[in-house]
Amino acid sequence: MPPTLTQQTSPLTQANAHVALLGWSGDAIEGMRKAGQSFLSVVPPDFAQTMEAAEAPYETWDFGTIDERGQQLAERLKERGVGVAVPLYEETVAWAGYVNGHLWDDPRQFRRSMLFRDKGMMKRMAQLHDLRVGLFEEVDGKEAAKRFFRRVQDALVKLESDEPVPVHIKPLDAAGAYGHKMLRSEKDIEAMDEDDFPSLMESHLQGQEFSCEIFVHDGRVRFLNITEYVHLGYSNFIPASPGLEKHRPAIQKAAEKLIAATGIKHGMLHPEFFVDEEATIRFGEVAARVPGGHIFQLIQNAYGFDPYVGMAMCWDPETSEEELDAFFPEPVEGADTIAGCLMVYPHRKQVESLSIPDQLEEDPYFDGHTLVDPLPGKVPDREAFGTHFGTVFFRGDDPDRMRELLQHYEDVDFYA
Amino acid sequence: MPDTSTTETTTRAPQDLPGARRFDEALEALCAADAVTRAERARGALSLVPPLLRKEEGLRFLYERASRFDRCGGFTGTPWDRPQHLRPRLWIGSFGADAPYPAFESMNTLRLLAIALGQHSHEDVDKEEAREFLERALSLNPGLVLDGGTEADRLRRVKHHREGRNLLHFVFERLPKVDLLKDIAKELDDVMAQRPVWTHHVRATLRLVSRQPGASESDSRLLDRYVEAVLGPTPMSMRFRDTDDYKRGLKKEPAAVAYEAKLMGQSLRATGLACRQHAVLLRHARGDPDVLAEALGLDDRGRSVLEQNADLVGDLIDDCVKPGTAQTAYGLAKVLERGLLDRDEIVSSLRRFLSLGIHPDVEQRLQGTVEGKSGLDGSGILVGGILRVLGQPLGIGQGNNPTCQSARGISLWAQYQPTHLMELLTSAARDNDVAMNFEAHTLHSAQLAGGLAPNLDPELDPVSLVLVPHLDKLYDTMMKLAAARGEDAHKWVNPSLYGGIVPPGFSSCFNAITWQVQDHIGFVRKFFATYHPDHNNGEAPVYANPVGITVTDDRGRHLGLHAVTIQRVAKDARGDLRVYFYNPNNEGRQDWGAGAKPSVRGHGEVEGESSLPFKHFARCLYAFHHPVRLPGDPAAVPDEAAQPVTDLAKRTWGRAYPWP
Repeated sequence: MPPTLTQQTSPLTQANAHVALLGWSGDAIEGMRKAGQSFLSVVPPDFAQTMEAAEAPYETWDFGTIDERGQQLAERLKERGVGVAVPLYEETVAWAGYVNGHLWDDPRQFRRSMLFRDKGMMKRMAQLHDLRVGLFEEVDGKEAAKRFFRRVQDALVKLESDEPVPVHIKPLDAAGAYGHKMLRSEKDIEAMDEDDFPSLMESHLQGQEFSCEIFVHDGRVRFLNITEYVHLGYSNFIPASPGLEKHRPAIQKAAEKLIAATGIKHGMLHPEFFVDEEATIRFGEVAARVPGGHIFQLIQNAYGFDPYVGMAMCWDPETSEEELDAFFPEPVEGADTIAGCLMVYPHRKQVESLSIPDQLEEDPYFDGHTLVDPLPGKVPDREAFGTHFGTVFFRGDDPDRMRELLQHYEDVDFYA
Repeated sequence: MPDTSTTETTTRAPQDLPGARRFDEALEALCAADAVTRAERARGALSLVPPLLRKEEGLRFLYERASRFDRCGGFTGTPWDRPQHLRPRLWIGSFGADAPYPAFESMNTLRLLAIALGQHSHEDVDKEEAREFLERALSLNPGLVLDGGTEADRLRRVKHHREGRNLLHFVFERLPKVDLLKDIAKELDDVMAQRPVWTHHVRATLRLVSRQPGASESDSRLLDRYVEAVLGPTPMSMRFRDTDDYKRGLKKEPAAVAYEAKLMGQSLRATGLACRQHAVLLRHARGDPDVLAEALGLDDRGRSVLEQNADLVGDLIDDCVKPGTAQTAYGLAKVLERGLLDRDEIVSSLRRFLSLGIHPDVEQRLQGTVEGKSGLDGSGILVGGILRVLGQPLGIGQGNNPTCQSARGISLWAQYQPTHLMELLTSAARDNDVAMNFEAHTLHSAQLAGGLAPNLDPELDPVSLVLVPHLDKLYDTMMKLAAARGEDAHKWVNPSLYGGIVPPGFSSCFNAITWQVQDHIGFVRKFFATYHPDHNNGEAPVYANPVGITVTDDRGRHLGLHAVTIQRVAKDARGDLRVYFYNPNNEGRQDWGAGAKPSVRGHGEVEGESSLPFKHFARCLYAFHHPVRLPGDPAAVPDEAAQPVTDLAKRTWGRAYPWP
C-alpha cells in the first residue's frame, strides 16, 4: 500500500490542535482562523493540496461508511491533541460520534450519532419524548408501501372516489430531502423501483414548514435560530417573520424536548418542524450537522457572528459559560437585518446562457449571487435540494418585502 | 499572501449610490479572506459589480477600488492574475459572456487604468504596457463606443455591451490620445454617411470627444465639424451653449437670425446632426417660412411644400421639436423634400397622431427616448419619431437587437406605405396591440408570446421602440405557423408581413429541412436573371426586395443569417455594377471577408444605402423573392458569370454548411 499523505511528513499534518473539523469547508476554516481557535481539518485525501496551499493544519481521511477504522481515526486525533470532533456534513456525523465517544470515554455518543442516520428511529425517539409526529412506517417493498398508503386513506375515511391524501416516502438513511417523493396514488408506488426500498413512509404534515438551528451546550439551548422557508429547497430567510417568531416559546419547548430525545449535550441540531394555525408543532426530521440552504451564511449575514465558530464552541464541553454568553446575540433583536437567499434552478431542460435581470441587480435588497455562465447543455435531473445552479442573496429590513422578492424571483428563469 | 496593508485612500461609499456599500463590505470580506475562501469572496464582490458599471458614479467608485481589489487577491487563480499575458482582442469577448467574466474584465480594465495613470502599480505590468493595452482595447472597439456594436458583435452576442461601452467611455475620458480620435472620426463619418435615425450614441461620443484635452490639437477637421454640429455650429450657438441663453440671444439680435438659420441649415445637411439650439431657432422662426427653409437647408421642392403647409409645419414644430428632440429637424427637412406633406392622407394621419391618446406603458417608453427632460408628451415625441422615419427610411436601425426583420419592415413601409405604417403605429401606441393577418389567422401581438427579443434593448428611435415588440412577436409567430412546409418559411411570411410589394416567387439555396446547400449555381443564375442588367431583359424589379444574406467575419467565416433589402442594382461612376442595399444594423466600417467590404459612400450610394459589387453581394445572398416568371432566362446565364460566385460562397460561409 502506498503511503497516505498523513504518513508523509508535513508540518501541517503533525501540528496539534484542540478542535477537529470533520469534512472540508473553506468558510469553517476561515472562521476558525479568524477567531484564533486551535483547529485542524480532517479532509478527504483530494483536499491535501488545498490545505497545504492554505497553510492550514489537517489530517486526511477517507470518509465513507463508518466502520472499525473509527478507532484508528480517534487514536490519531487524540495523538494530535484533539479534544473534540465537529461534524460538518451528514457523512461525518457518525465519525464524529465515534471519535467523541472515544475522546470523552462515552460510548453512547456513537449510538446517538447513529440515530441521525435512521429516519424511522429518529421519529420514534421524538415520539417517545412527547413530540408530535405524523403516522409513519418503515416499508421494505411496494406491497408494504401500498398497504400503508391504503391504511392512511382508510384512517381518514377516504372513499375510493375521493382524491387520496398524499403520503411521503424517503430513504431511511439519506441526508435532508435526498430521494424524497410525494405519492399521490398507488400508481405512483407502482412506478417506483424495488431499489427504492427499504424506505420510510409518512403521512403529510399540515402547516408551515421551517427549520431550527439549535446551538446546544451542556444540554441547554444557547442560541435558537428559526429559519423561515418561503419555499422548501428554494428560498428561506433569517430571522423569521413576526408571524412565525410569535411561536418561538412553543418552538423553544420543542427544541428542548428534542435535546432530551437525542441525548445531545453538546453541538448542533438542525430539525425541521411544522407549525399550524393552532400553534401545534410537529416534528419532521433532524440532523446534527451544518444545515443546507446557505443557512449558516444567512445567520452570519443577519447577525454578524460566525456560526461555524459558534458551533465549534458548543461542541466543545470545555467552553465556558462566559464565552458562550459573550458570543451569541439575542435572537431576533440581535440581528442587524434580515438575510435571505434564493437557490436557483433552471426552468428548462437545456441551458445556454445566464440572464440576470438588471432589476434584480439594482434592487436595494440584492446582496450578490453565485450564478455563473453555464456550460451549454442538459440540466441534470433534480435528485435533491442542493443541486441548484447558484444562489442569489438578499438583505433588507422588511420581512414582507423579503418574502415578496424571494417568491417573485423564484418564478424568473435565470437561464436561456 | 497579497499585501492587504494598502495605504491608498478610498473615499467612503457614497450614500446615494445603490450597491456601493454592499460592494465595500464584500471588498473588505475579500481582503480579510483566507486563502481557502479568497476566490469565493472575490466572486461575491464581483457579483455586485454589474449594476455599478451602469452608472458614471458607479464606475468612478469602482475605479477608486480597483487597486485594492487587485492587492487583496481578487484576480488570484484567474487569467487576469497575469495581466502581461492578456490580449486586447479578447477584451470584448468577456462582455459577450456571462457572470463573472464581464465583472472580472471590468475590474481588470479599471486596474490597468489606475496603473496607466500612475495610481496603482503591479509587478508584471508597467505604466506604458497598461496604457498600450487600454489604447488597443479602445481602438479595436470604436464601434462599441460609437454605436453599441457591429453586426458581427451582435451575432457573437455581446450581451453586456452596455457595461462594456460605459467602461470604454470611462477609460476614454481619462486616457486622451489623438490617434484614437482619428480612428473614431473615421468610424463616425461612416456611420453618419448612412444618416441613422437614432443618433444618441454618436452624440454621446461627440460630447465625449469635445471634452478631450487633446481634442483641440487634433488635426481632424472632420471631427471638429461633427462636434460643432452637436454642440452648436453657428456664432451665436457657440456663444450660448445653453438653450435659454440662445433663445434670449435670438430675441436680442433679430438681425442675426437669418445668418444663424443659414449656418444651422448647412451644418444639419452636411452632417445629419442637429444641436439643441437648433430646436430653439426653429421654434423662434416657426411663422417665417423663409427662415425655416434656410434653417432646414431645404431644396426647391422642400421650400414649396413648406410654403403650402406652413400651418401644419408650425404645429409640428410646436408639438415635436424641443431641444431634447432637436434631431427631428433632419427628419422634417427630408419629409418636406420627399413631398410627403403634399399627400392628404399623410397630413390627416399626422394631425390625428398629434392628439392621439397614448397607452401609459408606451408613454413611459417614449419619454425614455429623449435626451434629458423633453417637455413633450408622448404623442409629440412619437410624431417627431414618425417624421424622422418617413424622412430617413433607410436610416432605421435595429439597435442592439436581433430584430432585423422588424426594422426592415418599418423601412419598407416608410418608403412605400407611410399610411400603413402609421396605422400599425396607431394601434401599437394607443392599444399596445397590433393585429395582422397571416393566411387564415388573425394574429394579435398582445396575445402572443415569444419573439426574438423578449428583452428589447431600449436604445431605439421612438417608432421602433413602440412598434418592434409587436412586429417581432408577429414575425416569430408567422414563422412558426409556416414552419415545416418543406421550404423556407420566409416565402410565405415576408409577403404577409411586408405587404403587396413582395413578389410571390421565392428562391433559396438551402434545403429548408436539412440545411444543406442545394443547386447553388442554379440559385445564382436565377439571381442574375432577375437583377443583372445583362441577363434580365432590362426588367429589374421596381420595388425594394427583402432578401436573406449570410454574414461573415473579416476572414469570411460564417457568423449568422441577416435580413437586408435590395434597393436597386446600378453601375457606379466607374462603371462597376453594384447592388445597393439597406442594412438595418446601421454599421459603419464593415468587412465580410474575401473581398466583400460593403461601402456606405463614394460609390454612388444615397443616404442610408450600403453597396457591394454585384458578384460579392451575390455570394452573400441565400434567399430572395422574385416574380414567378423571372425577367430573364436563368439557363442563359453563362458559367463564367455564375461559377465564380458559387466558388466564393463555397469558400466563405459555405464552409459552415454541407454541400452536395
